[in-house]
Amino acid sequence: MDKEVDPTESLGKVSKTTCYMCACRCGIDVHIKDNEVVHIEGNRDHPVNKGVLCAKGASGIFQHKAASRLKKPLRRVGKRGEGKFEEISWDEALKIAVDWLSPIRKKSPEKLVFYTGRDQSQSFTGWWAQKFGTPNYAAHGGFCSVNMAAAGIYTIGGSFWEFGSPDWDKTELMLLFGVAEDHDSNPIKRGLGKLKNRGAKVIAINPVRTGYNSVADQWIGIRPGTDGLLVLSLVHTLLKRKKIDLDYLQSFTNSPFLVNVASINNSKGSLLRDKDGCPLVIDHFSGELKKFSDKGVKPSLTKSYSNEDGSFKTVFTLLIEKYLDNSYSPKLVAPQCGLKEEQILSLADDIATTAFNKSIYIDQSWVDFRGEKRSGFTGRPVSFHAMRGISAHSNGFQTCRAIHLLQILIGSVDVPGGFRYKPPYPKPFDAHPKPHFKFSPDSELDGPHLGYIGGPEDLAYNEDGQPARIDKGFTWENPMSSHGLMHTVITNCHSGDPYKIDTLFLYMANMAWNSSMNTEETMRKLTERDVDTGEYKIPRIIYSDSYYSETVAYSDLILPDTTYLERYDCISLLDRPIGEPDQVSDAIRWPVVEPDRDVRSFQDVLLQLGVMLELPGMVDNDKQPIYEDYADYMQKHQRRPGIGPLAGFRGETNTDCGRGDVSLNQIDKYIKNGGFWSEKIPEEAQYYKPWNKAYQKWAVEMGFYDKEEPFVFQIYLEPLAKLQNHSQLPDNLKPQEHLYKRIEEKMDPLPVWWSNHDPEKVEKYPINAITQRPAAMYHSWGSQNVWLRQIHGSNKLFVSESIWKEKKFEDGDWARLTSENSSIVVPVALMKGQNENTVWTWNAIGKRKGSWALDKNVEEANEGFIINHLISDLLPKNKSGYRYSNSDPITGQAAWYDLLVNIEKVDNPSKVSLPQFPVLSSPVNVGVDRKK
Amino acid sequence: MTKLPKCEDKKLGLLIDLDTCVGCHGCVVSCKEWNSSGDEKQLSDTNSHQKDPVGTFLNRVHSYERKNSSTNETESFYFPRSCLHCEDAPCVTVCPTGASYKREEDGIVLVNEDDCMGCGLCAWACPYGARELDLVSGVMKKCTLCIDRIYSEELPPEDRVPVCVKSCPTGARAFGDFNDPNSDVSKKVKERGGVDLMPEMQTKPVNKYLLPRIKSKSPVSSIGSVVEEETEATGLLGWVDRALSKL
Amino acid sequence: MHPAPSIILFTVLSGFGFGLTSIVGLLQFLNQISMVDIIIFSSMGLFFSTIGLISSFFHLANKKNAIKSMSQWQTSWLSREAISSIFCLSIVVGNIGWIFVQNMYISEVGIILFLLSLITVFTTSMIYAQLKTVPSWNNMLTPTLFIFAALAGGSILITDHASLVLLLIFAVLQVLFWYIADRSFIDIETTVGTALGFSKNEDIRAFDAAHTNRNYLLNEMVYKVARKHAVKIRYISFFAAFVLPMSLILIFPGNFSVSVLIIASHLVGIYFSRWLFFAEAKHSVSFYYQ
Repeated sequence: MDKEVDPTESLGKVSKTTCYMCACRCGIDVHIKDNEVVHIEGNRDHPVNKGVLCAKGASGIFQHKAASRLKKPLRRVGKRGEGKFEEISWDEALKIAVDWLSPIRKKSPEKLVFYTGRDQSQSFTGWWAQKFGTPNYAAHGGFCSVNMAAAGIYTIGGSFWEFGSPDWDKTELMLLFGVAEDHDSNPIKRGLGKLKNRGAKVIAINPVRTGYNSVADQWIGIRPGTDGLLVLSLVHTLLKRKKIDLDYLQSFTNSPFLVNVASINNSKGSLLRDKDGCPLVIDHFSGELKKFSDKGVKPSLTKSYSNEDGSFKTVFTLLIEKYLDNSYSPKLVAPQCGLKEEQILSLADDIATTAFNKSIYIDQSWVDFRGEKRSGFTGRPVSFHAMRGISAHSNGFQTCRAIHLLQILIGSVDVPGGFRYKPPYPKPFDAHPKPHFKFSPDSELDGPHLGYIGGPEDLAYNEDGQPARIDKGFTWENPMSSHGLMHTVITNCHSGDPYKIDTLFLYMANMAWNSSMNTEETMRKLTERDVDTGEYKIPRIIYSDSYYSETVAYSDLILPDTTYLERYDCISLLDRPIGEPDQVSDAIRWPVVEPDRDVRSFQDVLLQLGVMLELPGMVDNDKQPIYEDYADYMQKHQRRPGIGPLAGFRGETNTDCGRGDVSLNQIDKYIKNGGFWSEKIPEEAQYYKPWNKAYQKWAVEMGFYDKEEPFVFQIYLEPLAKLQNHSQLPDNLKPQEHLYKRIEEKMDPLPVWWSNHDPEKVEKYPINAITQRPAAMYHSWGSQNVWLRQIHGSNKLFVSESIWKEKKFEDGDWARLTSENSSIVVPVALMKGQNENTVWTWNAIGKRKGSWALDKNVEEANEGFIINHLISDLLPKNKSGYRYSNSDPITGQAAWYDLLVNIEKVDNPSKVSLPQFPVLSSPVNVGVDRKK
Repeated sequence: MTKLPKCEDKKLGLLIDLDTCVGCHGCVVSCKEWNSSGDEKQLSDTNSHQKDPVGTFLNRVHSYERKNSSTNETESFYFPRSCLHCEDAPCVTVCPTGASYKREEDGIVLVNEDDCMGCGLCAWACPYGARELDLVSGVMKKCTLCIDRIYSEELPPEDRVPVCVKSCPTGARAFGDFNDPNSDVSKKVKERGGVDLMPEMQTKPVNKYLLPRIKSKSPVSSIGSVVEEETEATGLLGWVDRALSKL
Repeated sequence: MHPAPSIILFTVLSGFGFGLTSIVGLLQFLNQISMVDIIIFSSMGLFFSTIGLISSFFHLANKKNAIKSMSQWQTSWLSREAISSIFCLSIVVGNIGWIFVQNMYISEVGIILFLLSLITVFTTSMIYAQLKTVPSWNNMLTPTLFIFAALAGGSILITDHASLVLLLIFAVLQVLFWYIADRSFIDIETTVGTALGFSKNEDIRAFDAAHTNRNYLLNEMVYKVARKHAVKIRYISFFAAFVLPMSLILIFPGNFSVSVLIIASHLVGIYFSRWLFFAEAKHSVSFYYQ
């Protein structure tokens, strides 16, 4: 076509909003003509993506026009899991919901269990749940990446991805641990491009060499779940070679803090503090005890101390004693990780050389939290990024802490060339809320659900000693479960453990398929009836989604949501912020087109329900709505005076940012500004933020916190020590005895590694099985997308060369994969670039027949498969007969990647993967081809 | 006109860096998106919700594993494949209707859909699989180098690049004039040794590729090769004490 | 390459038709044929050529532009083929009409028909032989094979002796073609390495699909036929195209009704040969998918 027709004319007008094809939240230019979306491309001005767009974002038009979109509220008419529904009106749907929810709130609000999945409005949905009064709320973080978030916040007051990023412009060496295309996809790709352009070195530690790991200069094909051991071996090596940043450790971390190692009065493991609770250190020069934060103090890292309470060693001494142990030597560690000793040594070499021989210095004077003037920013140009491959193991929290420890030892957190926070972070764990769970009839919860515990006193137990939350979050089984445990909810609701519930209310989470462990069993639990009453064991399920996912079929009442181009949303600093290290940003979505169906945005529906239920904060004294709709809430709601969901364009003149009065044309300003707001951090405040006066002052001005919150890095995590020291607790706070060993072993206040598997299991199931999310798909959403399903219409199990040869596989073969839990039959393919002990596949390509508006004979349903069936949601019974959830023992993070299997070649002439399930009926028609 | 012009003025094309491409398919879909947007353009999809979905794409990304003969390690890399706008474009000369042509002013190879009879011979003549016959419109489709972007007067100047270049998250794709020795693409080709695909086909592609850089095979550590200091905890703490005094 | 029936029928039938026309033309030039035979055989040639051309028309995805295919004779063999075949067929019609009207023929027109029909077959064959992308086609054996296929087929009805000789030459060429085709990719420089910009000898394999389903490229240019299957078809083709026809000619010389059977067998054989011509041809794009 050679017609130089100007595209802008034929493509209509541009509306700038925010993508929702994954959690990256890029800015997009949506071209609209005659109220139809005709084209989507990246917004050049947007801080997240600067105009670039991935495959998912560029095919958003098919997400928006998906055939699988629900069209009207639905009431189940068949059995659960059949997919038979009748359409009802919104009035009727809301009435049903209120008829169910109102009595619950009045009598026992905990019997509403409200969990949201790929929710990008958690500060709002959480607020709603709090006002309803149920303690049972969380989003999907517990089965996603809570290990990264919790380990990050507890250790450095920030975390990978949303709360920080590598200094792409200055880093000279970057290490990627377990990173595939999950989270922050376009910023990482943009960053890697910058590194490539500058010739900076990238080292990838990952069992599989795809994507980012392919372009890395060096690939370390580690055995899944052993990264923590590798990192601690690097710590061992760097300590031995004296390649650590002593100034940084002395000034900015708790390594000079004094730990009670021989307690007399049961405060073993606790830190030496003064009467006001301020940690004390020994001054290196005077040898006197001083407040850590006093001006002029030069804390000693080595001196010990004793008094009537016990004897005290510095954190640094404990660290040296622990990690110099020969068990961390590369020689002993390498075989356990499936690596060679030289690989570990060379990694340590690279890190040390880059950190200390290529250090950066930026001439910019600043004042630290002690009030001491410093002349510049020293930078250690080694950066790290870690994600799902670390987080989805049951040793992920400690592994992630180990990575942060390594960063701290070389002084590379929030320094030029290292890892840098994205505002509103850093924010130490003790500046976050603690978990709230105290509920009572007809009233709101005592505070926000999720938070960070400081010790056993913050655990979520009712007065009767039972877990307060249905997911057993913040209990001794997973005390730091800061994101809840969505993956335990269906199991616990089904078994009435710790208590029976009434209504399960889910939003945008495909729990009846790819978002659950043990999918087959989950479907059974959703459909099982009580033998006595004949009622479903989970009595009622309300679900809101935009699309006909597998989970819709298992729900009783469906509240159809809009697509991302038809709704208001705020990408809020109160929530999961966007932003870059040198600037703070937030953004909105707004309805760039009107829905062509009888659907409502879920947030609007929650507010409508809130009004009908007369929830506090949603109605005034006259029971009149406070907010007209979610957009109104976005502008008018205030969490604290002057602090609302949107930080930009506040105040009467729309010139305030961060703090400011409510403005009723704030959204208009956002729209005019391209859908986002952003503000640069002052130069003096760009680095060393936790200790930088200028940053702290700016952060208070912006409203990130109300007083300055300088803090030191928690190499030694005292809350864990408090948990370990449970023997001194009153009886009603003590853990059950069967947990003692686990608490002792796993809740080490210094990062520690353990194998996730006992040797007997490894013998029986010797192969690690993991998944990756393809760059062009977002969980289950991709298959309804006409373009993306042509790229990934089916998946194969990628088998390493040694397994391939051993099992005599050939192209086109099928295999049976068996775990402790179940077995599946799947097609195999050879991939050489992976750990020899590993098999893997793309995540969530397999679909249930009848779902997603796809014909029942599609490849996704016949050849495509999910490995969720193999993953048990509960671990086998322990010695006392108890079954723990398959989660990290500290955070409760779902341990997807702990999966071990064995593999055998099988004949499968039908070429259909197993297991298969009955075809779902569908309230939407199979999609048809698009016509011009 | 299917006679190949001498493009002495400009040779516009793409430079694709295989060392940087992470295989995200962003360019594949952005290309499909741009080239099927609006009223005029169409790249069809059939069986879109059925078995065997098939659609027309002007750009595809392949995934390969290559055994590096110098390190003996298997490396993976991604390979975006689209029209190379060859100087000696065989797809143009074989065209019987004159639909295929190469522009003299900038070397872009195009199909005039109003003249195409859908015989498919140009696709046969292309060594690279750059042309796909659209099953619904019955005419041959290929990369236009986003001619409707690069010469647009309405788009902001920075957006006047092919959409695959604009959207590429890693910046693995660059657009420019290969006839101009001072263009960024020419400089990079010189610096990094840009290569042709199937040079033996004598098509003289304008687009060039930059091959993956040499990867290091876990080099032997320099600190590992020195005699290991047997640092014990007490020794290390002593060193720390001395060092802190000097700070 | 995809063995599309429309294309196979086109090359088989138009080749046979133009072959017949060329033999008639030659004999007309040499004054070795009766006016009745000219009319009968020319009409047959006309019929088969036209059916072949119509068949090729069905291969077109956008038929309304077919007429434009005559415009690019300067560079395009397909365009030359279109012009040449239409020109040739017009002269055939003119020649027949002249005989009807004038009750005589101009022998010089015979040589024009002879050359023009062979040129047409040559242009057809060059559509394939010009493609560097398909090494097994990209040599002068392809036009030689097509021309002798045409001549051999065209001669069967008219002359026993010549047809025996032509069939024998064609058979040798066919075997030679298969022999060379089997080796064509070893002889040339293209490998998966060069396809991806590396050197020739690289150990490279695709590990994940660019798209999980087939597309136009795979449907059109990456056709896989099992070697065992192909060999079987070569035997069938060789038997039907040469062995049976030559045997029947020897057993039943000059028998017109047997000739019809011979033609049928021969064309079936050629059909299989052409099926293999496409199905076994490896296009360079297949390197991207291996």
